[in-house]
Amino acid sequence: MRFGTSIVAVDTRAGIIGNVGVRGATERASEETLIRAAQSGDQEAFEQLVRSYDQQVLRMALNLLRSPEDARDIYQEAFLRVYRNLPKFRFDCSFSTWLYRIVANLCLDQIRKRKVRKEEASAVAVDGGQVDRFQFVAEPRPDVDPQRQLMSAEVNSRIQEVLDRLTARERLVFEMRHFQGMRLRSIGEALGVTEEAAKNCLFRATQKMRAALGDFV
Amino acid sequence: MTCHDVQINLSLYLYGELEFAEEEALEQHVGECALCERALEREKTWHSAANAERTDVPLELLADCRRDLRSAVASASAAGQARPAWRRWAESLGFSSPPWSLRLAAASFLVFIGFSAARFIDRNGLPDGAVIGADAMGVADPATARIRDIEPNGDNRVRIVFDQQRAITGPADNDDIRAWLVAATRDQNDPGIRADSVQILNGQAGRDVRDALLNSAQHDLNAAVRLEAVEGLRGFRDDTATQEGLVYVLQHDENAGVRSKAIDVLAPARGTTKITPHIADALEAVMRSGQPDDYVRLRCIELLQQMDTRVDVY
Repeated sequence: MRFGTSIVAVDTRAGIIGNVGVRGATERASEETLIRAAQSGDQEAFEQLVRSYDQQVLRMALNLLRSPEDARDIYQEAFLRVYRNLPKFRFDCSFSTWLYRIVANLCLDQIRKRKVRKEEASAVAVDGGQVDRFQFVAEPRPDVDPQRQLMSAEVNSRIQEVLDRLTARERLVFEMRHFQGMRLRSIGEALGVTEEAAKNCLFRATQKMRAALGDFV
Repeated sequence: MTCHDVQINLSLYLYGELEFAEEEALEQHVGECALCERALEREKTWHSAANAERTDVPLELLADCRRDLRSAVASASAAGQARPAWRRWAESLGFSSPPWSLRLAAASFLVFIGFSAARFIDRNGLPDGAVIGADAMGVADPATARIRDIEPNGDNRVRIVFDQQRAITGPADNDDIRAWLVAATRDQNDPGIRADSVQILNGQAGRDVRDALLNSAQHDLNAAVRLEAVEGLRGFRDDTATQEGLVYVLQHDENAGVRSKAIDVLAPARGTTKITPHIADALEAVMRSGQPDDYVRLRCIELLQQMDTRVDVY
């Protein structure tokens, strides 16, 4: 909806606040209601379900692929797969685990297909022009001194280099734990591996990060 | 726990992924070992620095994705509707093409269920107090309603309190609609809803509108929503509370675009703003704190010159 004098107020939205995998009983019950409604063909319920997760999905794809076009493709493909396969969803696992399994597999495929590099254009194509995606990256606070800002920029550049050097699976696990705040157990479930395997993967990623940064921080 | 054990587990510790006993041992060791304490500080530093690599979701991109998905789903749904209902039902059960034997068994089962139910109701009637039909219809669809409370009444009856999907339509400046819009600016889940409501409220008068825009400008997590809210405060810029809010944005907002917009609203390029000495003091404080944006500094100086304040020290 964009603007006009009409507004639709819907108060049955299944909200998600905080980390994936840390949902309260009420939210889970509400989500189950939504899923069942969507399974019976309720488009509005499906849309609400999408809106509960789509920002996290898009953020994850953007962070991992660093390409708005690829992130857009992942978003579209992931939710279309959800739509097509929702009638077969049997609540054997949580919806978020199922969704993240789809997204993780799509992202892994994409990362493996091509090496994502920093030299990609920073412009995001949107309706009505282009937006520089770096304007959405958190800026340093205004009261930080220039010397420290320079140091911080250097550290961030190193971190980016390390992220690019991680294997696809390490990068994915690091993304899900560090940026998405998912628990290792949920990450393991989403990737179809044990919690221990996810932990080892995260361990390797953080070791590489520490080794690359050395005494820099 | 040795220094080596501690240092290789620092990240897992910061993520809260260690067992309770491991966490206790690590904390005890760090408390007693200066080397590991420094290592923990370094670990915290790169964790914080890595957070800066997190990309926020551009609202325009999100809107595009949602629009594309909606049309793709509509196409997929239209294609699905073209198939017979029984086939869609079978597919929903996981059978893409049920064999004849299964179809026959399913048909027989349905006939049996129907026959048994009819005989049962014919003999026993419906249970007392069951509400079937008009009383229950038209109230809500249980599949989509959000249940708030269930109260057993003690006489085998129950009261269920639920929210129902509803829509209201009306002029954007209608008091009731505006109250919904103001509430929507605080929607925690969807920045798109917050951006929409803030944009519709822009240009409207009223203290409730001003307060909602001030709240969004200072506290919304999304920079695009904050930007929109600051723009909306233009109509209230002679108001002291608004000026204080804009100064707060100048001092604290992390986004340069939002800070620039705040000074533009506070000090329009052509025209004057009536600011109180109290606001002038606050602007001086902004300048003293080392405002990093040249543009914001220049506009602050212009505004302070209007107040005949000493600006040469900045």
